[in-house]
Amino acid sequence: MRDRAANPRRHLTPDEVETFALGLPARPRAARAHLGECAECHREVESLRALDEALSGLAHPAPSPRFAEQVMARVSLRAPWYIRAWTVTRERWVPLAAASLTLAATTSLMALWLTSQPELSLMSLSGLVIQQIRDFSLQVVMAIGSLLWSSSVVRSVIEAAERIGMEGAILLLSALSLVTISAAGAMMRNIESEERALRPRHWKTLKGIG
Amino acid sequence: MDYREKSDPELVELCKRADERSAAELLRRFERPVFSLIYRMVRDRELAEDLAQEAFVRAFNNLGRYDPSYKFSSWLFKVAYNLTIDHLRKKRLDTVSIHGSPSAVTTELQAATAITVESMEERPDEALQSHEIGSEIEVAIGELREEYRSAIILRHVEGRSYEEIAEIMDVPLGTVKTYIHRARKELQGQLQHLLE
Repeated sequence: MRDRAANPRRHLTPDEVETFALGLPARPRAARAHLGECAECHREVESLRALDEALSGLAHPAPSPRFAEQVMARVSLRAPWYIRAWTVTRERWVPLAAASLTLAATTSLMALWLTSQPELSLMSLSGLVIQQIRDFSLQVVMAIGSLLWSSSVVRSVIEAAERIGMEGAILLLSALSLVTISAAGAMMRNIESEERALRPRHWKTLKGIG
Repeated sequence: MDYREKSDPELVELCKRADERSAAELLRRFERPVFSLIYRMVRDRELAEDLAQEAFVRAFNNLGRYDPSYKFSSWLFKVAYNLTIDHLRKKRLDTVSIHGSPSAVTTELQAATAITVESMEERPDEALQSHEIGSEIEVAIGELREEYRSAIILRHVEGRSYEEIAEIMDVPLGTVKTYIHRARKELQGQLQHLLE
């Protein structure tokens, strides 16, 4: 700007020519005054304006009519795990809420039962640690179990634990957890097949094209 | 839900949640501009369609890598541009061999290893395609250097800003200005009779 003020006869820069040709907002007064007097710059601006009109008027050629279908057949959108988890939670909130409540209740009962044992205070430190590990293992297995198994099953496991002792209960729950993990896998496969079924049929049938 | 009323960022967010209808809407919005850019770059309809298809598939399947601080359309054009340039560069490398083996050290050896090819002028089918996608202006655009061609199309046909073009082409802003300035001068020279 300072240059133009110092020398009003200086021709427009390519940026200034574009500003006037394309009608962009920033059109400094000094440059406008020069444009009014300079035939060469005026020609430049008009030439660029004509070129822009010619280019911006060019058509957008369209791809073939099946283009979109072919693209969609190859697109596999996959939501992040937390969104998928939230979707499953939202759709199956009743059983999941029941499972969570069962887990909370079970954990509270277990804590109450452990604190009511008089020999607990006499345990050595190592015994206490082993006990804690056992409790934790039991809670983990119970947590997994209560996610997919009904509260009555969880109650039965607690009763069995009382009868057969902690080691037996952990063994039993380990076996149950194996079944649970298999069931969870089957459930995820089921959700995925449901998702696939929800896709519009023509996208599915076009798989493999392109 | 009316997808046509949604903005690009809203549709991208839905796409990230695996909503295929939003992907279909984005595809509907950008299939022509993306295809046109590629078509004008490679001058071959079938190839342009393959490259455009690949660009959309890559963009949608890699939405996790998309930075929402940039316009989705710029990102999409960038994917399309990179694919096209890679293809053109590969094609150019393939054609280098027609001038003879790079290991041939003398003119005679180069001549002996060179492959005789038909004229490098536009073939009849390509000429037909040039006619299909436009007039004398299209032919003039086709004669520009690839970088000038993409820059001038993005600026004047797609109406992109210099900053967006720099992002798409991954070159400094000054380089974009130079490309566009030179492309304009070449086009103005070739199309003088039309522009007066």
